[in-house]
Amino acid sequence: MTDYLKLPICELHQKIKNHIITPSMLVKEAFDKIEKSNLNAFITLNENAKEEAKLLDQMEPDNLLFGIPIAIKDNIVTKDLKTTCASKMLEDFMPIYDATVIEKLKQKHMIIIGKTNMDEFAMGSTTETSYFGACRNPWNETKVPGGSSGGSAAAVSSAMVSFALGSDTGGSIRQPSSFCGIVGMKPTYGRVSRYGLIAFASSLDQIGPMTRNVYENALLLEAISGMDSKDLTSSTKPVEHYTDFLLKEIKGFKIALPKYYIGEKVNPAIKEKIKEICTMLEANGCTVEEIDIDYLEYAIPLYQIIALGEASGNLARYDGVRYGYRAANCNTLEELYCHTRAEGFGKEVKRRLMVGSYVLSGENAPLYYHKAQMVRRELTDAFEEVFSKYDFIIGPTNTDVAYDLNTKVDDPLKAFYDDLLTIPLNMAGLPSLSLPIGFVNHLPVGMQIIASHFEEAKIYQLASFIEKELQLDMNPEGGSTC
Amino acid sequence: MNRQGKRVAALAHIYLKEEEEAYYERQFDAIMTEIEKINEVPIHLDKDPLIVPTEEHDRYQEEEVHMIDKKEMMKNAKQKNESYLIVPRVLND
Repeated sequence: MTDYLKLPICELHQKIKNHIITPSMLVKEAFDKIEKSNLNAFITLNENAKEEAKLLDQMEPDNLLFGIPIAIKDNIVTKDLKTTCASKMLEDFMPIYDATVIEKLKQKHMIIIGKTNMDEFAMGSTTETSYFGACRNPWNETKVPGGSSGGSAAAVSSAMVSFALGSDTGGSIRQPSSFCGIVGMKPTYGRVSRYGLIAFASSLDQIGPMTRNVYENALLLEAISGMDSKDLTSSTKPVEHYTDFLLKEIKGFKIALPKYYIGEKVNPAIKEKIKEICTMLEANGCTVEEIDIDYLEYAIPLYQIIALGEASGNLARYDGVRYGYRAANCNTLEELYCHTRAEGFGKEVKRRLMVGSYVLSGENAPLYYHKAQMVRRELTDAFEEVFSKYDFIIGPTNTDVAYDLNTKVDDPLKAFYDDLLTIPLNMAGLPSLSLPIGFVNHLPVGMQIIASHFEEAKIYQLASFIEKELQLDMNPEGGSTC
Repeated sequence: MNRQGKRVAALAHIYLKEEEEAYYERQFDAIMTEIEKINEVPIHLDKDPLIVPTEEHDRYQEEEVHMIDKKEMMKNAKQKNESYLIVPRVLND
């Protein structure tokens, strides 16, 4: 089996340009690897990928991403390619249109290899809630890959593909990126169009790139970003050439490290890794200061109210009428709705919808939802205050490394606590990147680099520096360098 | 509001079997215990709530009509005829 998909994108592009390799060869390699893999990273493979690649074989490459295979999280609609959200509810759903991000990828002549496994309707942090079975971590197949974009993370980490898209509502790009040792970016809210992203929580969801390194992440984010008239929450701010900012000078940056992010809930070995990064940054002319940020400790109840409340509205459409699973033998419309949703949704989705509906109902709305919106304002203002004095906030992505599969599957709070350090940034709409910084117990550890709204370029600048300094071997087959 | 499992499930239009009620009640209660912490958070009443974390909102654009083929639109429906989606009878005879 060839291993071209492990090559850096610039090298791959040169080989395609010089006709040493073809898009068809890359597609074959991807499919061969997927077939041999035990990871269960994919739900659906694109049977047309080979034909699409054959057409591209006859064309001259017109951009760096030309002919490159990519995996798409299965909550992003792809025309005529099943999109299931890893749920029985949408097991056979065939979209009639492409998401805007998919249109953009097709304009770049990327080839969609398949749809990746995920937690059902993006609700979870391990990919174990998938109707199609759990995904596994390439670094240790007894461990979770994280979630909800676990399939995308596993696919990139194990070099089945070099690029993937995920979505992030409370940490679902960053957390699995950290667990699988890859680079994952949750962009600023509004940087990437949500048109065609099957909604979980509309004021929190963002699509983002998941890649092996910072350069490729920047390249992919640039390709998918931009204003979209079909998503009026997408920003009109121009998209920068993110790759231009890589490896620029970092001397003089002021960096904040929230005490909450190195508090008692975080594995001491991970805290040690963060401290090593801080020492390295200070040695290179940055200032790193520990600070307090108010309201961080309320991020989880905040998320539970806002995300679940919005989800209850977004998932109300799954009623068995226009699309999706439909319960049999129902005598009334109400029975149809209730039995369809009982049989079509898994446990995690059902409990979240129950909570979400409850916090929005009657006298509960002002008590919980309206209060949560006020607290969200306070938290966002607190972040704004920090960014008036600092260029970045850094800290670990997760409180611990990847854990065993089938641990606390029925624990209703586990998924939320896995996202303790990532949720606050979705609340404030801030961009945040997870970067691999080493290993603990032979498992990858990631750090978050957070900046103010629309400062993704600055994040890539710092991330590329750290990546270059660390020179980590992030190949699961090669083993960890710990 | 009564938090009994069946009542809360009904809010979400989800049918619960009798043997499931206790399970979901426990799960629901555990999450609500966490949610109740929001009540202890001090806030400034003179601030506006944050609904969407973007300064670019209330943007408007011209309505554009895009026709979709009816057959295409209905292709994912489980029960349909030539023109309509089929559901259980809503009005009695």
